[in-house]
Amino acid sequence: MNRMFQGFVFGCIIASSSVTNADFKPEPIGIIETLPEQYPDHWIMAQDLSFFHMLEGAVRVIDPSEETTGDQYKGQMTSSFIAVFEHSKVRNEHYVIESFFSRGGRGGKRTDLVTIYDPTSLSVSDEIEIPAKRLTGMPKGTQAALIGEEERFLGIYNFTPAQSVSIVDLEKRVFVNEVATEGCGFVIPNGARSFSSICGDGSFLTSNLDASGALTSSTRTETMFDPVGDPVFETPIAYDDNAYFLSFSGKLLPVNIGEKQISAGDWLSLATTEDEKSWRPGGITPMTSDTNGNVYVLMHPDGGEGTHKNGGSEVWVYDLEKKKRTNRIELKNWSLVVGTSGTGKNKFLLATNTDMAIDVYELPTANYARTLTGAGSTPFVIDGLN
Amino acid sequence: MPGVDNPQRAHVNYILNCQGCHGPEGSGSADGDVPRMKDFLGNFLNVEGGREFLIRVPGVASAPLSDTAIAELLNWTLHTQSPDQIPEDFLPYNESDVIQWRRKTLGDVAHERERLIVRMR
Amino acid sequence: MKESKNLFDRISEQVSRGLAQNTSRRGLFGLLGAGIVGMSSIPLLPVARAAGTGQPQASDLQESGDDQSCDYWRYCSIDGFLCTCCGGSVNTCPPGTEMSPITWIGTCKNPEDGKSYIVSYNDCCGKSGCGNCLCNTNEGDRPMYVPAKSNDINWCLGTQSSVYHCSTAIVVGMAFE
Ligand code: HEC
Repeated sequence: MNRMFQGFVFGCIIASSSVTNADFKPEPIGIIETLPEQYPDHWIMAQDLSFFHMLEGAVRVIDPSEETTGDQYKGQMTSSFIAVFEHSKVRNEHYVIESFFSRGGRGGKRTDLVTIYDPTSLSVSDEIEIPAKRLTGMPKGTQAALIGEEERFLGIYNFTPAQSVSIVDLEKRVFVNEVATEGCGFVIPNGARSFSSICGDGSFLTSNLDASGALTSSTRTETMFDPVGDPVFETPIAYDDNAYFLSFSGKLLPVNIGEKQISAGDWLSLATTEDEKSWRPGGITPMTSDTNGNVYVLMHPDGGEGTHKNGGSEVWVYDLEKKKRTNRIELKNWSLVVGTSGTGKNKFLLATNTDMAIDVYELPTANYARTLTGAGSTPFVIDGLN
Repeated sequence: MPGVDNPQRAHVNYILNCQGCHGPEGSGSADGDVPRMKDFLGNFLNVEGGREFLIRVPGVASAPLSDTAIAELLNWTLHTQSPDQIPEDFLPYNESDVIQWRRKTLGDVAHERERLIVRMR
Repeated sequence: MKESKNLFDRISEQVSRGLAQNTSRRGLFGLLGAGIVGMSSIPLLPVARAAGTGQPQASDLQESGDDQSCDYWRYCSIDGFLCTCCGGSVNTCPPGTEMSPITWIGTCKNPEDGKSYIVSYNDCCGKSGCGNCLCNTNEGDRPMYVPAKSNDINWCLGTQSSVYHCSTAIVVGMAFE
């Protein structure tokens, strides 16, 4: 508001100054903005699934430190039909894994693509067609993942309901291979040229690839959690050599997802006292982490069967280094999605509230700073690029 | 029904754990990659590896049911959906069959299935 | 601090603000203000709308409540737009859509007789999202790696079109006592 007013006053002063026809320089037409090659690390990628109009999703680039919607909003990548977003640091590219229908909302021939975006121009630099069978559904961080240290391969989880993972070679820009996963789902990277999947009986499957992206071997573990009694949310936090899975009852399971073998550590509890035990994690994206090994979990009181997507009034912070719960953050608004971005002084906790606006909290104080309203109708995933 | 202590319980277990993908009659869905079990499933019992295949497929092996319940459910499914294909010397599944095979996963399920189908010809 | 609401009724409220000026908001978004998970304090309406519309019903099934509301008993684990608000009914799809043969299965308790029934939540597909009566209830819902019990998946599978339109709740059996 203030700014607009200033601009107006400024404009008036210019207008009253003495520009003549002779030296008037017209503004150039046709200039398109670009973004920095490396985004500031506090910027977020807000993935609007557009739940009411699923063919019209978008991934929006937003600076949560700014005050006005205009200053916050940097640009957008259109993403069709409950798409999945990935970013490669190694290749500095954005990937939107999406589906198109030849007859739009009515259907027709379905084409699934990995659409590659240049982060600077936000324009499409390439497209790779993949089998039209990727899982579509509510967003889980591991529906697709970059595989290997060099991030050469991208794995995409298929569900028809037969389950498999499509492997794309990002260097050669081709779909190479479909890896059968014997009824296990998701692509959890483990650093090596290998990925793990979660199986319906509470075990894990690790699939190892060769240099061309073909499956060389796979190993299946024993059951590590109870998928019916106390299942874990689909998307873990990666820290050290572990993937930390969050259970519906509010415990973290460290799973050492190695290339050769998988082992699970002891369960870690988010609750510290007896009366905290009725609190449960929940939400559309209920868990996130920062670069310092802090896990942020959206929590609600009086939880029980069926409340695991309800979101929460608080975010509980668990320090994976110290192995203890270090904070309980009371949110300004009931929220359904959490994310983080940034490091050092510009570091934020983000929470999509029930009005589908994104509340920004400054870290480490967790003081509420502002609310972002330009992130679309249903921003279900909101994280920085680190 | 041989090997089925309680047909009603087996039917409910089928509805709760299998019907969503396989349909009420086991018709499957051609478009959706779910094989038809109706008037076909029993053929697996005629080929080597087929008996254990039915335990090892992911939908069965991973179902949240006890080993005994799985045995009963498989017997029920065979008798209800594919009675004419069951060989005469078929010994109903029992708990120890399931214990023996359930955790031996299949790897490439579609590939294994094709091998068995070839054997049927 | 806002009251604990299940997510989607808030979203719907927001969307409806612009749309439902002259229409009965209840008609458009049956869930408004009501669709909280497991909320038992809302008195059930005496009439089941299902009875009037002539769609097939399981024999002897006694029902009550508002089938255009998220707290209707069959919807204890539903995720999406109710077909009852989209031109279909609890167990039929709207005109011109296709019903998915593949789906997830839940178990809900019928308050009329206190018994648990098995509900098949078949999706109707082939038109873009209906947008009315968005509900998300999750009794017995499990993560996607237990697909038979997961309502987070777009179940428009085995259909000509995988575009999701709305969800039905078909009673297919009684739970084993
Ligand atoms: C999520 C969907 C799903 C569920 C739930 C499911 N199945 Fe399946 N089933 C499949 C698919 C897909 C195949 C084909 C093989 C594969 O890719 O897993 C299959 C294959 C089979 C086969 C082998 C038949 C053949 O012709 O190859 C049997 C037997 C079977 N399922 C039984 C069951 C039973 C019994 C249950 C319940 C305990 C069950 N399934 C639950 C999807 C499912």
